[in-house]
Amino acid sequence: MSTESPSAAPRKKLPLKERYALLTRDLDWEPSYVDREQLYPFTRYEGIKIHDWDGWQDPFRLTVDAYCKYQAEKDKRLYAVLDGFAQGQGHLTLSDASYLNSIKLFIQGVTPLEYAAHRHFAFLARHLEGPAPRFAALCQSIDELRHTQTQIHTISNYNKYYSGFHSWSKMHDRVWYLAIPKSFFDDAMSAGPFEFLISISFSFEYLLTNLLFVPFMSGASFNGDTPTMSFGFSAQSDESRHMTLGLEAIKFLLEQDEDNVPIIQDWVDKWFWRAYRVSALVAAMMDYMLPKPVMSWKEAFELYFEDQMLGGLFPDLDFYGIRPPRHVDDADQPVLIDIEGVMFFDIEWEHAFLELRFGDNYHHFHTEDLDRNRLAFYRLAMYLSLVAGPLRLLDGDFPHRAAILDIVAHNIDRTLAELR
Amino acid sequence: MNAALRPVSIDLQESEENRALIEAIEADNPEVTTRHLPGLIKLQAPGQIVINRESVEERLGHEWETGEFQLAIVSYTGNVSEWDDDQIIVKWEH
Repeated sequence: MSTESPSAAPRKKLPLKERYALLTRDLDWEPSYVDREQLYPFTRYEGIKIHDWDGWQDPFRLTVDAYCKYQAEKDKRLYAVLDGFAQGQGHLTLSDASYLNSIKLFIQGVTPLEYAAHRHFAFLARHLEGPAPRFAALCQSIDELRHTQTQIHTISNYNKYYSGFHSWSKMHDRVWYLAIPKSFFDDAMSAGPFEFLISISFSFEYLLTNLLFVPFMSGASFNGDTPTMSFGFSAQSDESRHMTLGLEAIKFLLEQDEDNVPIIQDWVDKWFWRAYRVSALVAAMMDYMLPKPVMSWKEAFELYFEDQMLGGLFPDLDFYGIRPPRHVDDADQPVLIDIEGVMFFDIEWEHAFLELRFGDNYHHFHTEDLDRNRLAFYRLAMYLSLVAGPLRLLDGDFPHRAAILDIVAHNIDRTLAELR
Repeated sequence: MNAALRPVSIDLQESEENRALIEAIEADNPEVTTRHLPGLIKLQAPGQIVINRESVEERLGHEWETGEFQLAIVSYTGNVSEWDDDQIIVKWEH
């Protein structure tokens, strides 16, 4: 409360650095009736050695008053876009309704991760020992909750007009391809606080969120989805603060003790590849689901990862003895993901599929050592499934019914021919 | 490649509100190159990018706090090496 008389001239605001020191470090205190180990029980068991928690600085010098002011402004701008879009029946102006498939993937695959991040950064906001990282973690925890809420809110508008947006958190737990983002975050949350910082704040936020969010949100804009673009860029503006936390975390840990270096290197190697797999979700969204594509996944990867991270960041970390993630050269190699092949199954099933897929060109794959009876059996099974699958589609409100009926008729013929 | 040459970059939302900021960055960093993507503008320069409060205010015609940069930024590459009341510097350290 001000003690000045009303006639006094308004005092000039304190400089940013001073305000930050007063509102962060000056609010911290040394415990007197418990020791530090009791107060912060989770910061020793991972083998990371910290000698001086004050070595951690937030370059944004964010204080609680500034945080509230800017976040409120961000939300205000976002909700103006959401309102305008809803009032203008914006859902009718998307490039194509099929675009929304990518948004279904987003709310099932990404939004639950935001919520998980909210929970775990709240944990870090309690358990990190320095006041600066604690406050940065607290801000991030609130940010992540904001992201969850603004994403649900933005996408709820589409839920009024299109099916498939229901039960997304249930999907996150149960749909097979969503096991990848789910297990990624579950693993990170069950790691210690320092490994979490490297996994999420560094490997995920600094190395890959650009790739995850920036080109995709640009794609949303290109396909007429301004609300998604707005929540995306609004969230990304918080991400830039989170990236700073990630970079500050890794530099701080590396500067504190030489023994930290190999531990961190292991985490960088591990979490790059864990996060890389999560990014496949966005690769699919960008390369297959945007009716009007803006940038290929390959191009985005080259721009945001190869140029910026491998070209810019890692030479900087080389100073501390950190190399780029192990086997990173393989990251831009095209691969054929053979889902069937990862399960143990008869090779004839593969060949029945290759026949179906490549038709007249199948002979390039043909080998002599196949069991003819099995091949015939699996061929029949595939034709039948191509009758059953489309018929199931017709039980719903699939719009292109004639084309589906053609597929059904064609495969009934093939099935019968096989049985003759 | 040494720190003075490795590219740093800043991605900003391309909006009316941010036009003065973008112009100020272009004026204060002659080596900056820009790339437009739907909804955003990507500014890239070798070594470092500087944002000066005074340059932004000059173009904006009213007061601007460096903290407001948080409303404009989408992403960046580099290290925030300075952020005070007058200036923000993004650069590589080593």
